[in-house]
Amino acid sequence: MSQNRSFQTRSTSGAKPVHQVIGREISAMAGAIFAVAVSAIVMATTVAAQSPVNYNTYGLPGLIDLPTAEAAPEAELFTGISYYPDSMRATIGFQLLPRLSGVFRYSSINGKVIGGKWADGTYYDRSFDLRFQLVEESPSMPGIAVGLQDFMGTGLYEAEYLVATKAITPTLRITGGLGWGRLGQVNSIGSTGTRPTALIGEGGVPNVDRWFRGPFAAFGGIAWSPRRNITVKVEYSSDDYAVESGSITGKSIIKQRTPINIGIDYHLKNGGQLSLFALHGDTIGAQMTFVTNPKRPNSFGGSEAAPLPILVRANGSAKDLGWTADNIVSNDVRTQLADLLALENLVLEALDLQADTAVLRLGNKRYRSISQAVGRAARAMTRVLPASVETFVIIPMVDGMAASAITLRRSDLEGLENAAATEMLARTAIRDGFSLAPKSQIKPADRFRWSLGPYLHLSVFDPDSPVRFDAGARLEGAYAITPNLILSGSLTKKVVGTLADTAPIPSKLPPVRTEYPLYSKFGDPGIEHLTVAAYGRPGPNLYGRVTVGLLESMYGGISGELLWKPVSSRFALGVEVNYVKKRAYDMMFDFLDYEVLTGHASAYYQFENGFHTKVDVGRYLAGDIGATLTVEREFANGWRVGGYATLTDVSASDFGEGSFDKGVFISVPVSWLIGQPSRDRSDIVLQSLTRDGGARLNVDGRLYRRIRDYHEPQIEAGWGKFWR
Amino acid sequence: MATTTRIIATLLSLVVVTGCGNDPEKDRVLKSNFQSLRDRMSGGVQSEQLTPEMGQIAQHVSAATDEPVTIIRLVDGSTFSVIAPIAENGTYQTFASADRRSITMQHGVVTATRGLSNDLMSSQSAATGQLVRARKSGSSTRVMRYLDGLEEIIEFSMDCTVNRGDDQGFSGQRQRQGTVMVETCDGSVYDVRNSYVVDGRGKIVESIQWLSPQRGYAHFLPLGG
Repeated sequence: MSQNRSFQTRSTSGAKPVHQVIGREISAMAGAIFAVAVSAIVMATTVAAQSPVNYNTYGLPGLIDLPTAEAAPEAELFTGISYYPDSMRATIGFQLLPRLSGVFRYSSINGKVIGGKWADGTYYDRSFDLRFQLVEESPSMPGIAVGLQDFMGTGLYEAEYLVATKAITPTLRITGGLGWGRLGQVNSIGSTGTRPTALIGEGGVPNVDRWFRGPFAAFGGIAWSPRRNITVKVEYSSDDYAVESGSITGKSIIKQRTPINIGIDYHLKNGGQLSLFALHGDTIGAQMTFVTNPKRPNSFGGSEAAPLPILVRANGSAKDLGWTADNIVSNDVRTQLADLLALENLVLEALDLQADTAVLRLGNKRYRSISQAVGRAARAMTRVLPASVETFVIIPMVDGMAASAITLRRSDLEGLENAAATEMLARTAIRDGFSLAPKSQIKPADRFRWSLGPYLHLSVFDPDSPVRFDAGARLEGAYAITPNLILSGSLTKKVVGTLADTAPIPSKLPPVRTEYPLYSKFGDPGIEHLTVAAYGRPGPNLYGRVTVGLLESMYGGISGELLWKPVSSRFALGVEVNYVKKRAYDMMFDFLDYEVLTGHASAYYQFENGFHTKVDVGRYLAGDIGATLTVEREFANGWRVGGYATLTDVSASDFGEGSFDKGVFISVPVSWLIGQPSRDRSDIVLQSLTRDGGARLNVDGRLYRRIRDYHEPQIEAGWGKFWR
Repeated sequence: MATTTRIIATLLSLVVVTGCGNDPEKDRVLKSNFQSLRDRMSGGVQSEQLTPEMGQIAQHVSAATDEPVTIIRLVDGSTFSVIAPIAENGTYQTFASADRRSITMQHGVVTATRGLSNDLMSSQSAATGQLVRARKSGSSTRVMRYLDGLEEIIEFSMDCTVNRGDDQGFSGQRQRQGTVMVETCDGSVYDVRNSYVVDGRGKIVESIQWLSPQRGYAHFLPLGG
């Protein structure tokens, strides 16, 4: 059984680090517990929404080892650790759709191998599961689900199943099913062909030729909840634990004396679960599961302070135009508005004040919700602007670009302050901000920002070590030479870390990414990036970017991008071209000999329910040609969950183990975590980074992600926060 | 061990440097975490004491000021505040506390809150208000709108009945004289029971009203004026 090197996870998002607790060097077992616990700490926990779901040791709703046909509430994120002596599983799962759940699992087994490539007697394995609920349980019908366990990779836990679950009484649920693979071993009742054992490609590819093939067997169990927060589970498992019993490993960590497992769950108020179980009459184990859901933050709607109330004009005052000839009044108004906006952490970049219209160029570094930023700015304007000004045009700026212009009527603001938010939206116009924003009036002294803080680069679930990390200090700054021309840089000094402890994995492709240990070792201190970036609007519906300099830790050069996206469109097109050279390992100003022209043409489409899809076609860092498909679900509160896969003309054997690049990511807005407005995010990315195929440049400032928040679909989706 | 020393040194120096710089947006999570850690360690966070009763608060506040402020006390005992009127928009009046939390009322009936968490974003309660102030029995419909966990507006629509109540009808320690009016609402998700004390001129002089699922009921006592 070959070692699965197909997944390496990185808990970082490039330029912006994850805000997480600094770790310390720990043993293998504790390492994985640490990784899961960090996710649990990052997640806020609240009161569980409904009757608790029981999770099994594999990390999905289930009995003890066995699956059930249950699904978690939609958008639920569940992480867990289960342990019995010498075997540990850490899982992160997400209910992607009401009927579709997925789980990533990292497990470690202590054992010696006769042949095969295990590390120091501990075998680490990464696996993925998917489960689809075919039929939802109802009073007359059981729930029925089909599942793929460990469906791509070495198949240590590989199984497929068809399972049904029904509540017989309010406290008793029965489950029964048929299993293949691991779940088809004990007392198998038939067989559907033979099950191939060879990996497809170099592993990392879904083993489609194995699914539902080979012997199958029946399994089942019951779950009894005498009280709401206690569940007793008994199951008959068709898994014979061949691997762990030593038939393959040569060392036994568990003996399957009986196919019966028993367990007990205790459910915490916040939805978490603590379990104890007895496996196969041979060993006792324990499990902890944490649960969080983007739909249940600690603070619904946020706990930020109240906005300014609208100031209603006196009757007839709108006709007074006496102020328009008076410069002093205009300047006064400008200063007062700047002060009021500053109270809301908004910046008055410029104000064009006419007799009946005011155009506000707005700077927002605080509010994740553009609707909320616009609402607060509008409130401030009603308090300060002369009564004759009836039309407000608010243009929130993105890197010196006017993405959209939001037009509101003051009479509507006055009349609808206490009405449903939808009424105001119906009277709001959102159009392309091209050439509408007045020139910025911010003084040069205010255009410089710098900060010194900690950074953490995590590499988790590595084949050799559960956690590798680098931590230290990061000095970063940005200076807006003009509003559209931004000089920025970031310097890191490592204080402690283990990322450099591996040697680069040998690769048949140019080592465009696999040399990160060398960068970690020699790039200390290192310049993460040092760039001058120019942003602009070449024309209506068009956005452009050119970035020059040390673009990221491994590459420097020039990157250019053009995006076409009309303000009310769900569809967008983009093109990006980069010419880069590989940087020297010391991460200073030198370069190595490798240079490459990379670039992509991209098509974006945003669906109604928050699904964003993107297809990029082009040339990657190793010179390979191919395409990437990214699918992401963004919730109105800013949570993003998604995945991507890249296929290029690099053959699986040249790519190496993993066969092709793929990954999943979760992005949690900090505002959701702390209940206060913030534009920061906490990103967790699990990707196969070890290989050099399908590798893209990590340049900051890519347009689509930045622009989309300011366009009509996102502003409308988030309009609930306008009056907040 | 050298590594352990380095790690401790890292942690200490990071505590010191976090927040250095002129960018107020950077590292706000860490800063807020350190702040709450510091508070907890120095005992700066308010300890578990129950909020004083409405009568006591009213005495102290009346003695301190002549302004037409309103006392708001959350019935779950977690907090009380003094709010003053700051804005008017037609029949809606907005009151705010010194720490920027606000309540908007229409003739004494709460229509919106801001800054309390799980804020009432807006509501349709004019019909109820009219019945209560006229001290008449009747039925009405109430709509209350909040932001859900996804920051989208959800509406709760409730069928309400307004009736006169007796002395025990007021669900808290009554401070004022007047007619007790009780509003009982049946919603599909929440059932609500608001009580009001209305004076001879049809003004709501005291009330206990439901704010939101997370905050529950609040006791309002306008002073002065």
